[in-house]
Amino acid sequence: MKAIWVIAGNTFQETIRDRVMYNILFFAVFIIGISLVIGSWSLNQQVKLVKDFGLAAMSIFGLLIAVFIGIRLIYQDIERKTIYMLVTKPIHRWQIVLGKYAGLLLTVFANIFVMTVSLLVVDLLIEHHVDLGLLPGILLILFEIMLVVAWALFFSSFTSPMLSAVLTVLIFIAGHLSPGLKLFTQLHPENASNKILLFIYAVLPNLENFNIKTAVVEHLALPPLTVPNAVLYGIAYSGILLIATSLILEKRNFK
Amino acid sequence: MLTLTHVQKSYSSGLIPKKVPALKDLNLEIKKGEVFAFLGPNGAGKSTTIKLILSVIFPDAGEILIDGVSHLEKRSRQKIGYLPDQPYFYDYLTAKEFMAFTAQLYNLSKSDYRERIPELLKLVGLDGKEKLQLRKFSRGMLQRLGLAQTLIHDPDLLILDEPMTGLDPMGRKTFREIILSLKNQGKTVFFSSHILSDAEVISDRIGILNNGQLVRQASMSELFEIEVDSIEIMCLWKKAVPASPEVSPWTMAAQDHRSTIFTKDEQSAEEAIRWILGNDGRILRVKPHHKTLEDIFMEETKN
Repeated sequence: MKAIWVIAGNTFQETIRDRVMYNILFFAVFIIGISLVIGSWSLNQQVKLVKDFGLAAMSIFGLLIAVFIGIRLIYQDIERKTIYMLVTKPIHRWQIVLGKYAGLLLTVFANIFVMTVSLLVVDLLIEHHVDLGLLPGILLILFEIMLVVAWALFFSSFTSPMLSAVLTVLIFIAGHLSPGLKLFTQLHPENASNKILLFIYAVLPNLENFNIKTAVVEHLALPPLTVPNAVLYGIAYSGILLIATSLILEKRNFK
Repeated sequence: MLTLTHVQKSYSSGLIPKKVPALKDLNLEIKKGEVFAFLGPNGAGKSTTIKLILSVIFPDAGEILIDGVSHLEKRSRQKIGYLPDQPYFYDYLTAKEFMAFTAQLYNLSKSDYRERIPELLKLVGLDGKEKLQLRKFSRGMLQRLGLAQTLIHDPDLLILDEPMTGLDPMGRKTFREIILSLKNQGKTVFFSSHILSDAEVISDRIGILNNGQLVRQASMSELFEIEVDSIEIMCLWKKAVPASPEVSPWTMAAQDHRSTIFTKDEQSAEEAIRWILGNDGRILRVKPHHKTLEDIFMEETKN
């Protein structure tokens, strides 16, 4: 277990130095801040607009950070052969995967934290109080990104950064559209390809599970176990991807 | 300490994958406490062998044991200190951070490595460089740091891939002294090298790999006992230097009443000595000339 935290700490040190990440983070904070101006142009919708904007920016920029750093993490280690310093030590390769994942999550958490503070500060400026009801929505954004990071890490274990980026973004899009697949099979039960569509639906992550932005902004009541179920789903799905990544790396010959 | 039995490894290459053998049925045994030099031309399979031992890559066949434990078990790597042929280190870390990171991966506690780090950095000539980022290190400095990190957990077996590369003469001298000191401590050192003169000085045994096959394996004393290149016999004559027999297995250079005779082997040397004594000559010196390790290496790898 110690090895995982040692590698996580090293990964965090590595990713926190990435200039791409700071560019994205700066832009995210800027967008959250600029929503204050844009919100002032709306008709009595400033609060809602700022919160919607802020949560959407956190989701999208959090995704970008996860993809741009996650896709290079293992690939870079293999290309630069710094992986040699890890696989030649008395640790399992799955510990390397978990360590890298944990380190990247720490980085994502730090970024989401900065964006959350920015959003709450902007909210404080317009509402004169902090809406802590946004926090469950932000928590699920974090778990959604956790799942996307697991996909990025999975792809980076066997393919190039460019292809990893494309595939991860496609998974993100498909994950938000996947409920539509199930709806289609329900509306067209006679369709011959329903079994295939349902299989794809089952395999793809259902990222709409994490989308409670409208509910938290509008202060709508959610079904009681919405947040815990989504958290458990995120953990289980990410776990399966990490196992798959570990299995790939376990057998890999590093040249 | 380290045993490789019938180890084979091939790589696939080309659009239509074709298996290219990198190691063909390698059998090697390294005894505890010895310094073993693993030599061979570029592409012979030396780095492949080292990567197989360390589970960076996996063999197609065969068994590798480290002190009786399969190399695939992670506990076998606890006994090994590894120096790669290129310094593949995280360059944003300082020397101290890198050493601490390595120590933690070997499960050392802070109290274990806190004092060891400055000692090791001093040993390899990097004292005062603890807080310098690795991106600012020269090639030679990285190589020295690489050696320091192999020793952090006091391993029984050191595996060094081209350890002298990138070092100036002072650096190579330091490395040689460290390796000899480790040998005196009972450590086992297995290293690959292109610098044959260094291998000649510090090794107990050598193995020469060529085209994936171990073509020669011998102790240094056996090597130089067997591989006599020529024998030089210096002698003094009372009268004029006699002419050599028409058919003689030696060549002779003469000046005044002295001659130097060169023979190819011991048998010819005996014949020459009998001829000298038979012609009233006096033997001043008999000196065998051994082949250098380079000569032996060139012979074994010429194909």
